[in-house]
Amino acid sequence: MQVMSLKPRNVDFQEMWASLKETVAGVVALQAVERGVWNTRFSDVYALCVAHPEPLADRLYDETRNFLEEHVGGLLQRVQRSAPLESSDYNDGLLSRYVSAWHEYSQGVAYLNSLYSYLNLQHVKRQKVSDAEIIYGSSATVSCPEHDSRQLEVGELGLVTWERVLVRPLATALSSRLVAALNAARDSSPDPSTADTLRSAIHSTVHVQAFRVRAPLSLYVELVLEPFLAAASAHHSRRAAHLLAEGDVSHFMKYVLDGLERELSLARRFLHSSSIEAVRACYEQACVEAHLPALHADIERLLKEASAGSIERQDDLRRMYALLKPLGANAMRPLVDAAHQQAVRDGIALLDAEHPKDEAHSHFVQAMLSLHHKYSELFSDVFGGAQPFVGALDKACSAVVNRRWSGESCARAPELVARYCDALLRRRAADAEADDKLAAAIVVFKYVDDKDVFQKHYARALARRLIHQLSASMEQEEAMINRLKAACGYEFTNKLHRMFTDVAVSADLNAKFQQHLRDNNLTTNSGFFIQVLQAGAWPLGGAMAPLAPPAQLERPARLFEAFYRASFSGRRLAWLHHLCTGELRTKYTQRMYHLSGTTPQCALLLMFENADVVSAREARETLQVSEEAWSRHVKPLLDAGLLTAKGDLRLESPENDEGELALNLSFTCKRTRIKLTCAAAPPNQGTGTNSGTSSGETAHCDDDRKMYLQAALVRIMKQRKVLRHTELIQEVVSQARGSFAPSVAMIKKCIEALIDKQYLERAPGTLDTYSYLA
Amino acid sequence: MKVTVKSWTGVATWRWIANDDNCGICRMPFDSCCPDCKLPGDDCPLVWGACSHCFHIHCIVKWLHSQPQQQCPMCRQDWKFNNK
Ligand SMILES: [Zn+2]
Ligand SMILES: [Zn+2]
Ligand SMILES: [Zn+2]
Repeated sequence: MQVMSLKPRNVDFQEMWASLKETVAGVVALQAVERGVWNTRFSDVYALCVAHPEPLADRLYDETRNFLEEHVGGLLQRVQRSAPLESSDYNDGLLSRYVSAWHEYSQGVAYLNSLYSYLNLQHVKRQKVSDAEIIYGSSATVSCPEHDSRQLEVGELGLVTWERVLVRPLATALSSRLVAALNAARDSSPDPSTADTLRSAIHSTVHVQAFRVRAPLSLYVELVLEPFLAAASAHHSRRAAHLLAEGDVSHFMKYVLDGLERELSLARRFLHSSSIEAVRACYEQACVEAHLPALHADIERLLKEASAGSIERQDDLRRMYALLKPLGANAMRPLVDAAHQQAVRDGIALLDAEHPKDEAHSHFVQAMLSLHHKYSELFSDVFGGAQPFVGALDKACSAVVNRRWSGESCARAPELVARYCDALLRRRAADAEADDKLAAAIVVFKYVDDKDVFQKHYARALARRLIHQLSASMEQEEAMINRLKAACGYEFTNKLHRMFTDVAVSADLNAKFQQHLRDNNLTTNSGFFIQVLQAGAWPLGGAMAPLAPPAQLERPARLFEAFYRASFSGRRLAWLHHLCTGELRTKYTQRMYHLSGTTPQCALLLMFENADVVSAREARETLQVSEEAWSRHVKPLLDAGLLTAKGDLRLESPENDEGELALNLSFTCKRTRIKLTCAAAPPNQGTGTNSGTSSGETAHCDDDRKMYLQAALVRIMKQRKVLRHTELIQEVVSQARGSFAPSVAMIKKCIEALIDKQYLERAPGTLDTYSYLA
Repeated sequence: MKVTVKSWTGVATWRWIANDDNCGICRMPFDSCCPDCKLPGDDCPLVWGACSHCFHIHCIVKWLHSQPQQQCPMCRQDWKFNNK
C-alpha cells in the first residue's frame, strides 16, 4: 500500500484530474473501485488541495461540479427516454427508471463525498457559512445554497445537481405520476414492488434536500404533498357528497371514519411523517367540516335514542364525537348543548314521574342520582368522559335540581335533600346501606344552589334528632357533617359542629351535676337529665314559653339552675318546655303504663293527684301555658284517651273555655309505652326561627344572606382598600358561591347599606370605585 | 299517687347576659366567637367591665394592648374587669 505523502508539492492538475475523474465516474455509477485505487485517489484529492505554490481545491471543485452536471444530464436521458412529460401514467416505466437512477446516484454520491473527505473538511468547511447565518440571513448570498455551490460539500453538491439537472425538467412528469399512483393506492393496495417504487420516489424528494437547514421539505411539498392534497380534497368531497346521498347520517359517519383510517394509513405508508396531520385536516375539512349542518341536524335524535338505550345510536354518538372533536369547540358546541338539553329533559321527566307524596324526598334524591349516574355513564362511554360533557352534565343536574315547580317561589331541593338525609340518619339500623346512601346524597347536595336554605333545614332536623335522641348513630351523624364540611367548608357546618359539641358537653355537665348533688346531699326523686345548648347555634324557637311546672318537675330544674349559675357566670339559662320531656308511670290504671310527653303534658297529668276532674281554664292558668300552645299540648292527651272532655271544652279559644278535663280512670291500651306527641309551633310564631315552611325559610335566609354579604364586602374591602364595582361584585359572588348564589341587586343593596353605615364610600372623583373607611 | 315521675329530660339554652347582641370591638354577635376563635362558649368567653360594657375577652385584651390608655372602647371610662 502506497504511503500517503503529506508534504505539499507541485502537481500537474490536468494529469491528476484525468485519473481522478475516471475513478469519480466509477464511484457515482456504483462500479467497483479497487482499494488501492481508492486510496491513491483519496491522497490525490489531498495533494490537489494542498498543492504548492497555489492550492488547487477550487479548480478541483469546479471540475467535479462540471462532471456531476454532465453525469446527471446523462441520467436524465436514461430516466426520461421517450416518456411524455404531460402524462400521469404511473405505470409507463418512468417512475421505476427514476427510482433506479436515484438509488444508484444517491449512493454513489455518498461514496464520492467520502472520497472527497479532505476537501470537504478542510476546504469547504472553511467557506461554509454557519447554520445560524443561514437561518438569520446575515449573508444574503448564501441564503439560497443553490446560488453558491461552493458552500456545499461534494455529496451535497451531487444532490443539488440532481435536483437541478434531473428533477426540475421532470417535475411535472414525476408529480402527476406520483399523485395518480397515490390516488390508485387509496382504492387498492399496490403490489409490493410498485409500492416500493412509489415510496422511494416520494422519499427521494425529501432526501435530496435533507441537508438543507432552511425549508428542507420544500421540494417534497411542491412535488408531492400539495398536489396530493388538492387531488385528495376533490376526491373526499365527491365521496362525502355521495355517502350523504346514498344513506343516513349513521351510514355517512361510519364510512367517513373508515375512510379517515384508510387515508391515514395511506399517508403513513407513503408520505413523510410530518404530513399526517395535513392529510387528516384535508380529509376532515372535505368530509366533516363541509357537512357540519347535516351532522348537527341529527344530534338531538341520536342523543334521545342513545339515552333510551339504543346501542346503535350510542355507536353513532361515539362516531359523531370522533368526527367533531378534531374540529374544535365550535363544531362540538351543538353536541355539547344537545347533551345538556337531553339530560335536562330526562331529569325533569324523572322528577315528574308518579311517586307517593310522603316519599317526595327520596323520590327526588333517587331520581337525581339515577339521572347523574345514567348520564355520567353514557357520556364517559360515548364521549370518553371529555370535560365539555362533564360540564354539560353538571349544568344539567344543576338546572334540574334547582328547577322551580310552577307556582313555587323557590326550589324545593334544599328541603327535599335535607329530609332525605334526616330519614336516613334517623332510621334505626333498618337501612344497612344508609352510609352509602348518605355519601351519594352529597352528589345531589353539591348541585343545590341555595345551600344556606339546605343548611337551615338540615340544622333543624339535626336539632330534633339530637334533642330527642333519634339518631341511628352518632358516628353516622358526624360523618355526614364532615361530608358537608368537605363540600362547603368550615363556615357552612360551623353551627352543626357546635350542636354536635353541645351534646357531648351536656353529657359532661350532667355527670358534674350529679356529683354536685351527691356532694351536697341533695336528691331529685326522679331520673334527671338535661341538655344545655348554645342559643345561637340551635335553630330553636319559642324559647321563652312560660310554664309553672308542678313541684315534682320544678325542683330538679331549680337545683340545676343554681348549680349552673354558680358554675358559669355571665350566662342566662332558658328552658325550652316544648322540648323537655318527662316520663310518667300511671298507678291509677289496671296495668301500669309508661307515658312520655312534654313538660306541660306531664304537669297536666300530675294535676289530677287530688281530683279526677279539673277545669280547663284553671288548669291552663295554673300551668301558665300560653293560649297558643294549649291545644297542641292537650289534644294528644285527649286523642290518646288518657283524658276526656267534659262540658263545652274549647281548646282553640281557651279564654272562654268553660269545659272540664277528666282523667280517664278506666284507661286501657294495648301498648304499655305511650309517647304523647306535640306538634311543632306553627310558623311566624315567636322569633320565627321555628317556622316550618320553605317560603318562611327563604325569607329568613334573605336576612342571613344580607348579613353574610355585608360581612364579606367589609372583609374584602378591608383587605383591598380600593376596588372597582365589577371586581367587588365578582369577588363577593365567588365567596358566596359555597352557600348561595347572590343576586347582583342584593349585593348592590348591601353596598348601599355599608355606605350609609360609613364602612365604605364612593372614591372621590370616580363613578364606579369604592374605598374602605377604616 | 296516681302518677309518678320516673324521669325528666330538660332542654335549655344559654346565652351571655350582655347589654348588646354584638361585641363592640369585632362586631360579631356574642352568640358566636371572636374572629380569632372557631368555637364560641368556654373557649372564647365574654368579660364585663366596671362600666358594664361587655366584650369577647380576646377582643378587649387585644384592644387594651393596642391602646396607650386603658379605656373602654365604648364609653371611654377607665377599664376595670368586673367579675360579677
Ligand atoms: Zn369581639
Ligand atoms: Zn376568641
Ligand atoms: Zn364602657
